[in-house]
Amino acid sequence: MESRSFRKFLEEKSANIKVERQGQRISWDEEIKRDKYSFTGFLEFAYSNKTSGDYIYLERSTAFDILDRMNWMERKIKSLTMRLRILFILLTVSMIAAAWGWLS
Amino acid sequence: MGMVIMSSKRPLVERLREELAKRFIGNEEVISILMLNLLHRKSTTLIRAPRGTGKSTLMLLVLKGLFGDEFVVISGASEVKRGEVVGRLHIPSLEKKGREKVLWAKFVQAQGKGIDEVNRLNPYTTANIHHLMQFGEVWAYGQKYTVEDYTLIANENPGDVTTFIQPPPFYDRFDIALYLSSLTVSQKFALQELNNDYGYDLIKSMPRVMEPGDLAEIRREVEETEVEPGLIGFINTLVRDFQVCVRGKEHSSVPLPVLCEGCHFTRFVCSRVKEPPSERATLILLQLAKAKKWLEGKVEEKDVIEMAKWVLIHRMGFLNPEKPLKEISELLEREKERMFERESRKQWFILNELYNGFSPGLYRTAKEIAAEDNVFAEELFSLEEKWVREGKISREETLKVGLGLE
Repeated sequence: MESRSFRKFLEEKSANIKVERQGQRISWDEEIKRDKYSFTGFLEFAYSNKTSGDYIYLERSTAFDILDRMNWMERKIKSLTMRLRILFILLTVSMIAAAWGWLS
Repeated sequence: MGMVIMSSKRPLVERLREELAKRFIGNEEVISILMLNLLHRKSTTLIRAPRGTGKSTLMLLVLKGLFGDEFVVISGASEVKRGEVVGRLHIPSLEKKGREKVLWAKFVQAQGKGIDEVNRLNPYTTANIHHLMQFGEVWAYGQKYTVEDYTLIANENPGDVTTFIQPPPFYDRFDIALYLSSLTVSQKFALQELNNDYGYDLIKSMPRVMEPGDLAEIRREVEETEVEPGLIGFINTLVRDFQVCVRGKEHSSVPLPVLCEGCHFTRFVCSRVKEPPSERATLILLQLAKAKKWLEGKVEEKDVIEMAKWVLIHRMGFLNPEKPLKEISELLEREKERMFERESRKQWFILNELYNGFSPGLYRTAKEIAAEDNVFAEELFSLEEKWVREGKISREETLKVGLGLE
């Protein structure tokens, strides 16, 4: 059930929000506080040794880029783990063979 | 904007506060909230403190200030009989006329009621008082007595080895629970001075500040005070934050923190609340907000956060119950940040736009916001249901399905 007072609350909350409407499009400006020691953009934050601001903004393209890198790293980790296992088996087999030769 | 009533009765409340401050040292924050809680009908206050910290003194000072000597205090530590709390049979009527006439106890009749050491009341007495607080009536020998407006102040020492464990719904009937702290060295000096000034009888020295009709008039005015929809929304959202659980905690037999494992919202306050507060919390917060506005001319969101500490502390089960005051303060600090984030995200504006009409772009933004706010998510779920019925979106693309909740 839709509550009248809830709608009134939403309308009151919306009344002070300044937005620009162009047809179907709504846009607004966001004020970002920043100083020389805090970053709000993800990339500049990631490549610095400074602290972040309260919010870190991530563009969609950066987000997908990070996702791709994470997926690539996961695949890389899997393949390296497999290589490590094979090497470990080979090492074990060669050590057993060497030990067998030495004993006989 | 709601109308601010400049009442002629306001000085009476100020005087009560002053007279109280003259006789009760320390715990100023507690006194402020107690004063506000006295300003609505059927006011109930629970004072919790270790022994000897002044909980009985505070109870008696307030009752004396409001009702003079016309108040009744029962003590949980003594053997309280039903006749003293509810009523007893009038024996001559029964013997002579064969009629069961009930003599109602002074406790139910008096407007000022006090219960000393409520945690030591026997279950029968507790059940009667619980019924009085819940339904505004008491029953004895098949007869009913309807209780008018009252002020009930109770106290207990939670550290006491109690005779009986009182049920949580009984505590939920108390509007606020106040925790008193022991006095600092300088405060002890101040108390000794007070005792000297008042001849070691602080209670006796307390004057009656209000006439019988004054409190009723004040409570009527407070009830009529209007609070802005924005603040009501703040109160409702705050309480909902402590109640909400997307995994249905209220009806789940899986305890916390097991239920929260793998949940998207584990960093929110919900994951530290074992038993959520009742709806009564919103009603009391609204009453207190009205009282604050009536008394001081304005009430803000930060005031509500302060009040919430005393409204929620006894109505909730915490995941870490060892230090309830510290826990609730920490959770409310988190809430302050969360409310700020809500404002920054303009989420209520977006929800309002979506109520006015479906827009795919705003819906996408709303879904992103909902992933950061479970209370907002709930509201979006109900809109999604409507849109699915109207064929605007498919069930597969809803947030509920996206979060794995359906």
